[in-house]
Order: sequence, then C-alpha cells, then structure tokens
Amino acid sequence: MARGTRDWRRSPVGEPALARGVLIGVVLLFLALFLLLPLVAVFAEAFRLGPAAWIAAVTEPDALAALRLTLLVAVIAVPLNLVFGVAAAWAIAKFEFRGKAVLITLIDLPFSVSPVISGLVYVLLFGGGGLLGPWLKGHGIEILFAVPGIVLATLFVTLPFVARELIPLMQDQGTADEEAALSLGASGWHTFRTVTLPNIRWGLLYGVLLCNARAMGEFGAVSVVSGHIRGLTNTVPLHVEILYNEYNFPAAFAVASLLAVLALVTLVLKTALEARLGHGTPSRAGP
Amino acid sequence: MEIQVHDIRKGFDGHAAALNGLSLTVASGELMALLGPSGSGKTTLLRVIAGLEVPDGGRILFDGADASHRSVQDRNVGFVFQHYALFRHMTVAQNVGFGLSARPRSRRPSRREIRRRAEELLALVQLQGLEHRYPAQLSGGQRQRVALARALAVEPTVLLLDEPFGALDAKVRKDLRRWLRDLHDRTGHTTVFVTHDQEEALELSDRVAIINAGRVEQVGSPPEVYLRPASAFVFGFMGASNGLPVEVRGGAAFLNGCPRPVADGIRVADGPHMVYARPHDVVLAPDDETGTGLRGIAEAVRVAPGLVRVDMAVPGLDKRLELDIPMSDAHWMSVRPGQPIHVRLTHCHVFGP
Repeated sequence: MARGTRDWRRSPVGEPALARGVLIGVVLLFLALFLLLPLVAVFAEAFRLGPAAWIAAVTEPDALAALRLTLLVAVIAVPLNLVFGVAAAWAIAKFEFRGKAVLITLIDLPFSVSPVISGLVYVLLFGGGGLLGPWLKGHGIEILFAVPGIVLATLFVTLPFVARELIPLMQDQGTADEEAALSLGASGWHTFRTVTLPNIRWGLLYGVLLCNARAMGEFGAVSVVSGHIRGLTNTVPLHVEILYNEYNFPAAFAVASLLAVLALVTLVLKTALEARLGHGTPSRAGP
Repeated sequence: MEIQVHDIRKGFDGHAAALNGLSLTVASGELMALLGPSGSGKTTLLRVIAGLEVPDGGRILFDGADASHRSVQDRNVGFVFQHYALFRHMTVAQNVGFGLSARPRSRRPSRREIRRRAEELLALVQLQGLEHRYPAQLSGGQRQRVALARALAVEPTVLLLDEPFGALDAKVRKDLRRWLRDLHDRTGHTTVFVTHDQEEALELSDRVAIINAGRVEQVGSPPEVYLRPASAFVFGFMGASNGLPVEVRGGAAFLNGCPRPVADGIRVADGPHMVYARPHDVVLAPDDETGTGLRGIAEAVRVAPGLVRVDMAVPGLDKRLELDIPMSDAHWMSVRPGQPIHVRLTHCHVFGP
C-alpha cells in the first residue's frame, strides 16, 4: 500500500476499513438477532392486546401471588447470601487456613451444576422418599412443594454471586488497612464496619444486584422443588411457563415483560456500578 | 518506653525461619534503625513488636513488663505502614482522628475534641489546611505525614515505622528524613524504623541494629557500626567494599603469590583471612619496594562527580578491585585504561575467611 493512501487517523495496529466494517457488521447483526429482537418481541407480544389487557394479566390474582412469592424469596435469599458472601470473602481474602482452595471450589459449585440438578438434590433430601423426608413429615414440617423449598433452592443457585465478586476485590486490597485500624486501637467489629465495609461497598452492591436478578429470575431449580401450585408455590418465571403452556400467550408475555424490565433495570444499575468500580473511587487509582 | 526483644523466633511455613532467636533492646526515647537486606526479617521483627505477628517463641517486654500476650490494640503502638494504609474513604482529618473515635464510649473524647486533636497533629506534621482532602488527593510525602499524624493521635508509647521513606522520591526522602529527626527530638517517642538504606539509617538514627538472616549482626551508634563493623556482612552492607583473600603471617597479609604484603600490623592469628577495604581507602601510591602495596592494571576509568572510579585488575585476584580517587588527587589524570598502577590500602578490616 502506498504511503499516501493510508488513513492518518488509523491506529498503527488497526485493521483495514473493509475488515473493520465486516467485523462490526457481523457483531451488530448478531446482537440484533439474538438480543435486541427477542427483547422487542417480548414487549410487542405483551402489549399486543393493548395496555388494558396487560394490566389485567399482571394484576390477576395468580400473577400477583407469583409476584409476591418472588419478592418474598428474594427478600430472604439475597440478605442471607449477602451475609454469607461477605463472611466467606473475608475469610478467604484476609486469612490463610487449611482447605481454602476447597472452600473456593465449593462456592463455585452452584455455577457449575445445572440448576435442575440443584433442585433435584433438594427433592432427594427433603422429598417423601428422601433422606430427611420421613422425619420432616413426622414433625409436620413442609419443605418440598412449599415456600421453604423454593427459598432453599434459590439460596443454593445464588450463593456464589456476592462471594465471587468480593474475593478478588478483597484480595487485591490486602490487610494493611485493617492492620492499621487495629494498631490504632479499633476493635474487630469497628474495623469491619468503618474500614473493610466502606472499602468493598461498590463491589458488594454489584454482587447483591446480580444475586437479586438471579433470585428473581431463577427457573430450573425452583421448578423442580415448587410443585407448581397456582397462587401458592408459583414464582413469576414459573407463572410465565404455566400461562405459556395454556396457550395464553398475551398474558404469558405480559408477565414476562415484568422480568424483562427487571433485567433492564439490573443492567442499567450494573453499568453504573461498574463505572464506580472501575475508576469512580479515586482511591482505587492508588499511589 | 524501653523495648526489650528477647529470643524471638518466627518461621513462615516451609521457608527458612524469618527470625532466628533474635534479641535486642531499644532504650527509652531512642531512635533506632533496623537495617538489613530484604528478607532479613527486619519488617517481621517490627510487626512482632507491634503485635501484628505472633512469634513462635520468645518475649517482648515494654518497660520490663511482658507484652507478648497483649493484643495489637492493647500495646498502644503507633505503626506507620510502608504504603501508609490510609483509609481511602475518609478525609485527612477523619484518618487522623480514627484512633480516637474508635475508642470505646467511656474513653472516647468528644467530637469537637477529636477534631481539635486532629488539627493540632496536622499542624505538627505541617499539613494545615488539608483536613478535608482525601488521601488520593495528596502527594506521597503528604500521605506519609498523614500516616504519621494518625499514628501519633492515639498517644502511642512507641512509634514503629516500616520503610517510612521507601515509596518516596529521593528529594522528598531527604527532606522528610531531617524532618522526622526533628519531630522525634521534639516528641521524644521511642522510635524504631525499618530500612534497607544504610545512608538513611546512619543519618537518622541514634543507634543502628544490623539484621541479617533473622539475627542481629551488630548494634551500635552510626560511627561505631560504620568504623568498627563487627562482621564482614556489616562491612559489606554499609557501603561498597573490596574483598581480598589473604594469608596472614606475623601480622602481615599476603595476597596469593605476591611477595609484598597488602597490609600489615594486623592483630589476628596466622592463617587464611579476608581483608576488606572501601573504594576510597584504596589510594594511588608511588611504586616503591618497601611497605605495603598492590600492583595491577587499570582496566576502566570513569568520571563521577568529584571523583574518578577505577576498576583495577590484580594478578591472582579474580574480582576487579574498585578505587574511588578524589579529583583533589592530581595523580588521577595519569591513570589510563591498560596502564599499570600501584595502590596502597589506607584503611582496612580483617575478618575470618
């Protein structure tokens, strides 16, 4: 190529214009086809019969019950996993102990196992023919096909989110800040509250956000343990499936659009948090 | 507050022991440097004194009272970390006041009192007006001083500094050194600081403890350790040095194959020894057959500010001898690469082989 024909704005490591165009085009097409189009389709289907039908579908008693249950599950599962995640990350990042590698691997287990298997494990544990089933039945405790089962399954699949997000962050920050606080006479709890927690707040929020999105959207594990009792053990994703199986497409999409909105809100918040995590906090730039 | 370190042992699993039965006494009000190469255990020692590290054995005494089992919080030491460990989400004033506001309610000063103390300390470290800045908005030297003010705020009995100037550039380092010495003289804290820079240790401290492989090699005032090193390690660590393997016979040291001694008047038993000399203690001398001396070839001649550095090849010696010739010695101009030269040791130390 002659020198004169080179575009002076081009970076020396860039590709020719044609290659760039084709690559960008392929990516855009792919994104449009597999991400944007389905999203648009959800909302288009949801509002096909007009806003009145949409409101009717999402305020119908079973839909409201499903919404309530989903919120309840999230309200229980997310704080529990927040506490667990912080505790696990704290232990892993700040201390040396035997079996640390095993613990890290265990925390990842819910990510590597199919959610259906996760649900099945609870059926095997708490079901009528399961390990603990008969004992539980004898004491009148219902876990499977009831709210506790759904909460347990959700807890299991959302367990890694907070811990996974915090471990690298806390490892990166080291223990010098905590040591400084202790040497200044602060108690362990005071140190955690005023030094450790503020240092990890954005990472923690990020983990909680992802954990929450998964808790509300989980289908596989919850489907196995819920028993699909309308108005009682149906979460929003399960309710969508039931409506769909009954060929009630407008209602199914209307409820699904709620989940889509949840996803979009999560994405926006996530992007905002990523900006804070990346370069928002001045201290991360460090000395 | 006097600090006594008694037979402290600390190993890190799998590795060689970091502290090897180390004992040391820091006198009350003294400014002591722990000097040693990296991995010598000096930082571990500092952390053991602070209570940030639990030793495998041995005792730490503060003013004669056993402090070995006191927690970090109860030892009341001011610790300045190498990278300062300032709390990034707190302002300078909040950082300095942290120790006071972390106290249990019964011993906690009022908010106003804490603010007043912080301002007072910031004035002491010459950072007035920066109360509301965040650590990220400060220069390295300013952060260092905030860390110091924060450590002083809890009125510690002992001040411990881990490589206090390690992360600063040369100019700031020099200024802060002098400033820290002044501060120590004004506040009178027993202060221990860790450094690997012998110049820093010699310039700043009342006494220097040279640490090597988890043990104290020598403790003494800067002139003592510099002029009367107790071991070849101390001599080597205090500055550039030339080592010559010699045979001592009747007080004279002979280099392998040379009929003339390189040094005489040595009071050690006959046998193989090492003679050490600083580059500036090797001087050009006229080539006479009497007295001590060394013959060789000037290999490289480099000009440095105020002096000329010469590498000299000596027959029978596999390492080059280093000479620093001051430019005030007019003979330096006659030294040319490849030319034979003759030198004499004006000052040397003899240690075992």
